[in-house]
Amino acid sequence: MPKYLIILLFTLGMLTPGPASANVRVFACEPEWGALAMEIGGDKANVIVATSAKQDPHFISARPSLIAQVRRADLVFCNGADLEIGWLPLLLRQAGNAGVQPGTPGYLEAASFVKKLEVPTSLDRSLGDIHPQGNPHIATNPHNIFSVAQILAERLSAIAPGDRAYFVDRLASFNHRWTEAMTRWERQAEGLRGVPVVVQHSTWVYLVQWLGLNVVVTLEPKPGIPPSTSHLETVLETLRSSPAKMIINAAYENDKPSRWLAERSGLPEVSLPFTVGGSKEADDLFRLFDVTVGLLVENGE
Amino acid sequence: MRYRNRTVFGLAFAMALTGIFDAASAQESSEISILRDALAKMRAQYEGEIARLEERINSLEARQTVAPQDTASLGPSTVSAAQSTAPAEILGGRPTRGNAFNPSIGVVFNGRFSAFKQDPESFSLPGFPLGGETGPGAEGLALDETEFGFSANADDLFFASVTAALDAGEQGVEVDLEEAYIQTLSLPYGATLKAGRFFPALGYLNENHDHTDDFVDRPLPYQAFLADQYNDEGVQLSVILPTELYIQTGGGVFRGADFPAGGSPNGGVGAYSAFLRLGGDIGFSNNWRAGVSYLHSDAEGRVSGEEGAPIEELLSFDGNSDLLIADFKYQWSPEGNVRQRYVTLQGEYFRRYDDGLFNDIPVSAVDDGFYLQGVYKFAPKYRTGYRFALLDPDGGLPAALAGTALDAMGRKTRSHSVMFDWSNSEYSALRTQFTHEKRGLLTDNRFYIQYILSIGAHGAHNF
Repeated sequence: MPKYLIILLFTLGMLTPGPASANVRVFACEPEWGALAMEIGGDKANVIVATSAKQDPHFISARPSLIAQVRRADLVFCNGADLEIGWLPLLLRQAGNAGVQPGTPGYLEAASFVKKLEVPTSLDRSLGDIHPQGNPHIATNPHNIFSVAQILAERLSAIAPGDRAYFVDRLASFNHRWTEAMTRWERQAEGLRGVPVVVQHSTWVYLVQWLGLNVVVTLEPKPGIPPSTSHLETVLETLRSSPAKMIINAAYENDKPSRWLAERSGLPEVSLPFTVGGSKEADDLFRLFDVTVGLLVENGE
Repeated sequence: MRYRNRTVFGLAFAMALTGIFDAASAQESSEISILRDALAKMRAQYEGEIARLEERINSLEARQTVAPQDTASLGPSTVSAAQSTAPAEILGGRPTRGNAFNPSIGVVFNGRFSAFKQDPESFSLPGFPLGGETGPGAEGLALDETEFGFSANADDLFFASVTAALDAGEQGVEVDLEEAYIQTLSLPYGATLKAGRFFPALGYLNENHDHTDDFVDRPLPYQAFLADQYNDEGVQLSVILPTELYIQTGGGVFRGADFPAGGSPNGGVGAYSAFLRLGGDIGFSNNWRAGVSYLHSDAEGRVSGEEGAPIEELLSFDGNSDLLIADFKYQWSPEGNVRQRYVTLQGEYFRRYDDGLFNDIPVSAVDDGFYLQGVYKFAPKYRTGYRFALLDPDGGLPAALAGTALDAMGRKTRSHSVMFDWSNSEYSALRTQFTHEKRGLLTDNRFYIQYILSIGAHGAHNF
């Protein structure tokens, strides 16, 4: 009896039609990389985004729907630097898709193509949830996104060689618009250089370095460890001697610690979208940085 | 003015590209060729634009309407664009390690304090001859299994994993080889082949190591039908279909050495299994999976009862046992953010058909059991949960077997458990559990405090 069931299911599986127009099926781990894949892939790519802006990308369940999507993907496009260490290896192993295993052209880790910050010199779990390869949140600096776009176009062309000219076109257009936008954001954020800020998690190192912000204190005592009230009291003390302009957190984070501190210190709590979809306005990569830079400038000057 | 602006843009672009070529230098030359093409395209576009601008400037100059203050206002941006495009520096430098190819190594520590109303030595589930060391374990302070795991990709085709548990038993330290298997990574058609010793895909909990469980002990049906967990040697093939709905199907052939099989019959091919699993999402907030599985096992001289007990208390089984399991799990979390909050509901239904000889007396029995549990994570570090489980043994029994473990005297076993746990990080948990259990005529209350810690590589958990 189970034998017939299996045969039946196989047949059903083969008959299920896929979308006709898209030539490359992209499984993007995070919304920012999904958005980039749509920029470069256009109509020739069918992009599935595994996580939403409201989810903490460190903590995702390796649930069946994701395994099914990895099984069907031509390209798995993820952040890397161990950000997805808690779920992606399991998805890749369970999906049994030979074309997207690490080391194949179908597997792309964005963080492998940029220079990483905060690479730890010593590894010990008592230091919190640290990443041996460095801070993984590379997409908060648009220059990193620019770097990754070039590699992505190459991979898309390798998977669908017939669409190479199309991808080159899309890349050229993206490069042009992105470079212009970066120049605009940088001019807009000139006044933020050296502005003192408080951050909730070490999510923002790349943004901080890009805009030259000055992080006075981090709310999490150690990466990934939620702050206790007594730790927040210490932070409040620190702020008395070295005042800051604002408290920055990400849309997906629990904002209780930030709110607690904002109420007592009188500093504005600035919730940045962090990724595409993190706020209603931040609906593509360009608008993401428009909103981010806008919020920082509004509160920092 | 526009012309100056373009120079700034060009400078920023060139700086950014330098960064790319740095990063891409490790890639093969084909990766650079796309850049060259894209660049050529941009240059063509760009030169066209510059030409148009130049033309415009010329015409403006001719009319002498250039506003000089505009040019002045552009000064500072040149500096900012150039500064900020400097490549990010590496603060620590990537440490080079000689052990980079070594497998992931992890150790799980597990200890507890337990207090029971009934003596665990005389533990029995009416109507169910128990396998192995089924039971609530030792009372008082005790170290549970310490589990060592090593795993890595052997090459691009195979993954291998070994897990061994050390148990400080009464006869000294015992080593239990839990799993030692290889698994393919690159078979076509979404197929995966697993071989060696492992926990076969069966129901929901069977594949998972018990340190990932939500409760201290396995639910009653797992204790009664699988002696906590079915663990055998063999091969298992599974296929994931290329559909949007998760459909996984497969089956395995096993040695038949572990309960409910026994004695490795038929020349060492004593059990086989089949399973089908479906799963999906409803938005980001609702995730589900459901499955049915089947295990056929042959047993030859499978003995139940306490080790060293008198012969007349032992129950030997020869025959076959067919087990059907239906399982489901549903999880709800706001926006799919499981770090903050979630609710999971999970349940499994078991039905077993036994056909064979118990102590040489023919028996044909149908037994049922199920559990249903809910776990609520109400804050990032805190969870609480409730579980109900029931065993319903077959009513009929040959008179010759009255008074043995098979004889339930028409009584069911029910248990209610409540747990509460605290996890400082994903690597540590402290749990307390209270269980109220009615086994036939006996009423048992059990209280546990448990810690589970893991160091080293920590494998991702199944949904």
